[in-house]
Amino acid sequence: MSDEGLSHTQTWDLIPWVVNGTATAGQRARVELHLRDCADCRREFALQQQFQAGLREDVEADPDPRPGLERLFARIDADTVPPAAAITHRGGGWLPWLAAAVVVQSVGLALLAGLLLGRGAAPDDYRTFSAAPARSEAVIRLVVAPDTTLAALGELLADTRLHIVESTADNGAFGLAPRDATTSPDVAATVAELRRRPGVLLAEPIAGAAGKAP
Amino acid sequence: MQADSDNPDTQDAGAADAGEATERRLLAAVARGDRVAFERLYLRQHGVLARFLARHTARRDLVDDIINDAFWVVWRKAAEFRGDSKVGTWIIGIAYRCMLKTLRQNLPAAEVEVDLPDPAATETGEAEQRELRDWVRRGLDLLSPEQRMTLELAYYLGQSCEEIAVIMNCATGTVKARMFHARLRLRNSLPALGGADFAANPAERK
Repeated sequence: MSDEGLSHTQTWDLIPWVVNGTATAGQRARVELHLRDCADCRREFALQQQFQAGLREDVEADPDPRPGLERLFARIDADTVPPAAAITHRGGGWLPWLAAAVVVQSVGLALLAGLLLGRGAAPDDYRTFSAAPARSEAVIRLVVAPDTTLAALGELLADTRLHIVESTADNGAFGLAPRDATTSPDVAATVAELRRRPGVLLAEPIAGAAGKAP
Repeated sequence: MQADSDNPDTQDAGAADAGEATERRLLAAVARGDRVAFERLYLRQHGVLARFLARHTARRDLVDDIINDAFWVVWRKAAEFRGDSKVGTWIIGIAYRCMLKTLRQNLPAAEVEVDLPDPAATETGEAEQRELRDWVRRGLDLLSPEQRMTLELAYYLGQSCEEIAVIMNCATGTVKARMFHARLRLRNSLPALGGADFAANPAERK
């Protein structure tokens, strides 16, 4: 017998994993060697191959994954984006965003100063989410990845013709408004554009804000 | 001697390695809250999960719920992936647990059946395939839920013994035992299809 010590039982045990392609090359070689001289195991091997083929025949067409993905994103949004007034007090699912916010804070502070000074913003043109709940002009909420550079964020805002008008106290999330306040922005399209950009962790319309609804 | 680049097995392994590396990068990005990576991972896994879950419930709404429950966990727990299994195996394990929970909550056992259409056989090959499918369905009905799941993970999803142990949260010895008894039960219960002359326990043979 030239099966290098592989017993009948060992072969039997290995057959499913050879059939499904997950056995090692060595295991497969030894099983194949055993099968040459063992009609019983050859029948078992063929039977398992048939069974696998039958299982894989029993397949329906793939459903469209997009609707389910949209529902999942909505669920994630609902869990991770609290109302603005509670944004600095929420625990649980908000913790990942807070963790990112801590890292982005230093960049954010410098960025805000630069952007606001650069465009000559008046002091009451900007507020934190935790400030008095005056009607906000922000139409989009944005959170960027911690490693986002100042230049990248500036470019993002320029490309989407937005500017920062409010922020959480820790600068973890920004409220964005159109630079040209006289036009009604297409919020859905702008949000979609933001979401396509690298480094954007979250972009979503702010409920009740001005602009065309998504 | 065949060069590795010409060897289909090597090419398959290379593609599988590249796919796993991609999924690990995506999962790492998901752990940082990257939605684009999350979407890509979802789309990569959705098809196989949907087909696999559809074997256990005919309700498409439950399949969708289970997939989203599983990916909800993936979104929140991505940072906890330790890398001691493939990303796909980790996700299938999550989906498996979500499936057990959902089916327990939503379906009496009698409804946890695959109710696939029975297409008319228009060609000989199709008739043979239908016969094969019927044989497999009848065979699976004979097995315990754990035995059936083990067979399906191995033959439908192509998972290894070790991966099935991860997914079902059991020892590899348990996987081997379930596979052994599943095959034995199929063989002993379906002599006409499985070979009447091979119904004895092969482990008892020398």
